[in-house]
Amino acid sequence: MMTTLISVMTLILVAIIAAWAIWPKLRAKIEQPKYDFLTQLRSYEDASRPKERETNDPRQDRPIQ
Amino acid sequence: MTDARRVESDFQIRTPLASVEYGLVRAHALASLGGLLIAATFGLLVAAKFTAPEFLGQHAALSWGRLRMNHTQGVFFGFLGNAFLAFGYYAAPRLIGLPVTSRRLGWLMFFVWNLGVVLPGWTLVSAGILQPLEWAEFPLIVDAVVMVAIACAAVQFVRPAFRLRVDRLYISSWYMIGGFTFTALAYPMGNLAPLIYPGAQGAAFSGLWTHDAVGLFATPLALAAIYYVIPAVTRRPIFSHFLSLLGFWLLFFVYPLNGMHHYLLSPLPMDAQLGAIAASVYLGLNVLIVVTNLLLSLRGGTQMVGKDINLRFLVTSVIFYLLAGIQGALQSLLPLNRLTHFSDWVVGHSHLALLGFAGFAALGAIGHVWNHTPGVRYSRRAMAWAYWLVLSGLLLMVLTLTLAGLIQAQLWNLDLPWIASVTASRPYWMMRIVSGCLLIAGFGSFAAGLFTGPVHADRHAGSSALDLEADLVATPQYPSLSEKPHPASAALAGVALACFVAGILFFGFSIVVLGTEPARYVSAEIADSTPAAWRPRNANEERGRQVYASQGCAYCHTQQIRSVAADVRRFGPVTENWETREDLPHLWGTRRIGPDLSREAGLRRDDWQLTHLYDPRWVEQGSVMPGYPWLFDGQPDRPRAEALDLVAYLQALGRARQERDRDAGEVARAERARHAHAMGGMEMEEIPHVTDGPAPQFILSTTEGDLQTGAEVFRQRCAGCHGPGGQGDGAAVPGLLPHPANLTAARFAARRLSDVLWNGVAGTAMPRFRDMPLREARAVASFVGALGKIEPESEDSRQVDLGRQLFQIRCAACHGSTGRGDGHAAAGLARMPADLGGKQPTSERVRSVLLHGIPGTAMTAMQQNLSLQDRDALVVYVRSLFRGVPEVEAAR
Repeated sequence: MMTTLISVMTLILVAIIAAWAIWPKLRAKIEQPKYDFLTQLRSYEDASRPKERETNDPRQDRPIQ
Repeated sequence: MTDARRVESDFQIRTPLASVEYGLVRAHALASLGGLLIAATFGLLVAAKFTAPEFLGQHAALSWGRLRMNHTQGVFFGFLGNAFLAFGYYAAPRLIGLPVTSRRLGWLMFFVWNLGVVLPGWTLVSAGILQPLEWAEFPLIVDAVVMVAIACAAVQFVRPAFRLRVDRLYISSWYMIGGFTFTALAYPMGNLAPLIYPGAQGAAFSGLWTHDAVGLFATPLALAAIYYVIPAVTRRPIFSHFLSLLGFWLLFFVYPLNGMHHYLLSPLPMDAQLGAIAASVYLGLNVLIVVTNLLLSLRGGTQMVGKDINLRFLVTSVIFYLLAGIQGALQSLLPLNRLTHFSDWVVGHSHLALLGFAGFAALGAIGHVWNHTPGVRYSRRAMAWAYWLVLSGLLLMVLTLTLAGLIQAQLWNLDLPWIASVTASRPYWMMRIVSGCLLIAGFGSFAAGLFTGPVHADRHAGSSALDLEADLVATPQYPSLSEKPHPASAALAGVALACFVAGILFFGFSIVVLGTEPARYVSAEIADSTPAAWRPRNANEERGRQVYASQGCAYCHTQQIRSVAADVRRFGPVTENWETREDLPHLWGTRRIGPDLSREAGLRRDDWQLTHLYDPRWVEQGSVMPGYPWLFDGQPDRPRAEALDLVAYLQALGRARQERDRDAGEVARAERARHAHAMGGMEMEEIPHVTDGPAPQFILSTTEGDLQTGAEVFRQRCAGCHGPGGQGDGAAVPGLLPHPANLTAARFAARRLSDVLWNGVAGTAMPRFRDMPLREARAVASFVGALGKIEPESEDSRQVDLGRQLFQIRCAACHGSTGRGDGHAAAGLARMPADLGGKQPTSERVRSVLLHGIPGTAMTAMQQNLSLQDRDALVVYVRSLFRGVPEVEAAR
């Protein structure tokens, strides 16, 4: 029973990979969240960055450690 | 609507941005480090007790077993639980663009988690109110609170996520949803089912939970953090979202099927075991996929690994994930499992997975969120120290445990005494203490680093999430995301939802194929194979079992003899399912620091067991078992009811099997039942039990080398009872009745010494030493043979004749007419009368016995009925019975 189960799972896995390989649009849609996530992160950083840093923040002169 | 607008609408990037509950982030992060420091201290004490078993050994709350339970539960709930909740509060709004469900619920959950789970759990376990189940030690009342907390977490994090289209969920969101959802399903199964299903059936569920705790809680939440922090620090998207999703679904479909690989070669249905092995190999492949994807996600940002300490923690965690995943897959294969299971190898693997992978991920996540929380920053120097200390400590620990495990496994496969593996492990256990100190120093440095960071001008600004790392190091900028935005796909969303539902159904399925279905087969087999004469434990034995469970004995002593030749040779016949039918919960154990106890019945006398419980080193020199003095009133011969119950339980272990094996009809019936109920048509491999042969007959040696070896073996294994000089004055004497023999007050025939070493002495605490290598046994027999004094024999025939007459009247009923200890009354005596043909006491000793008897035996004083002349005659006659002039090999 377990052997059958594992075999079926292998077939499903192969089918999923095949679908991914055949359809470029599917690939693009599956990959979209990783770009959305980065956009979301950037918007958080932009929104929370203090204004003074953009103008005259003395810490920007600190040496790189 | 343009594609870009549709994407924006789907992803719901909002202005203002979803609020982040930084108060909860800070609170959980600090609680996590507090939990880590306390749990690690428990772990250090556990390690220290291997080297100094008496250390803090006077209190049950600080006993090895309970400290070990609090160590693992503290890591699970106190450290990892709080760390992942801190990360969840920080990351969830950024991942899904929505705040968590409720701040008030968050604070309620914080107090429930720490004041309703962690602290009460530790307290109750210390007080002995616990479940003797690995990774499920907190008692049921705490389990109920855990379930409430997990339900709160699901409401807090999973509910908002489902307001977003599922096909747009980033992989970290999937892992968070999966982690909380599947933990909510697995936790009650792992904590309740073993309390409902007895013995082997319950063990099947325990195996499921032991693995699910790592695979469905720690792993997904650690991967959620890793998939979050890597792109956040490198400012680059991960390599492949498809591979990450593939890894996610494989994890949730394959991990639950692994559980039974903790009980390979056990009497559980072999087909389920083979399925678990296949799933474990699949899991190894899955780890390869995930790790490849994560390492490729560093492309273009690898310079940040050296600069961002949090990323360094997380990338190290990925490396450990790879090692643990490959190691886990390999050790589920039967050849390696047969060798290393129950040894320190597995403990090393656990630390690699829980601390190396999940722990490093949690520390990296805490560092990341801490430095992005308004008003707080960490000290980079302290964090760097923390990283190197924790890494050094962990590597040292895993290395020493792995080596110790291999050595233990090798020694267990040889015909050496069990204590040999303990002695050989000592240097490694000392190194384990060093590694523990390094780890605690690292954790301390990490905690200190959180409070010693630079004070920001905007500490009270409230809304700032300024990245200090970004100020201090050259941080890559976000690349222009040139990928064309793609509209959401209803079909893809449907597939994702279907996968999620299938995952939940599959989890249920895993419980069926590795839990309820094997349990059904086992139950049917038990019904058909239980001997007709089987009787349940009595009340004392059952109470003793509770003492055994509450003291954590199962963490060092297994109660399952696997279908492995070395097990069978050392401990006896393979455990059968019916033997476990009343074990609720099961006490199979997963580690052997001491020997397996499932065939303990009758091996040793009660007084030996009691003395051993009071102070194990009195009767087993070199043992690292903790003493249990709180079970006694100050002396081993003054046991409390708990100690007596515990010994009663130990003496019941394997009793039913001994009785069954004497009945050939019942043996055949059990054999038929096993064939009839072998799930999937396969059986575990059969190994014939090595039947007891006659005692080997030693020829005593007088060579100096052999006598020196014998003296050393005697010091290690005999001196606790017989004293260093063999005069019967060892430390264990107060607890043993009859007292250990004074070996200098008699000389022994070689056959007698051989017999005693092989069979022990019935009715006394002298156990059999069949685990002793024959070379050592011969050496110790030679040493004991040389201890005895040789006196000139009397040649007065009148005395001999008078002694013979008196002996026939007064002694022959027990000792037999020829003094071989085989008189008609002997069969009814617990302590067999001395075989005077194999043992020649000194005149002084015979006289003493006649005057005072031997306490604890049927030999009573005879002074009132014997004249001085009679006594002298008996002394001469008794000594004349000796027929065993020691067979001594000529000195070379």
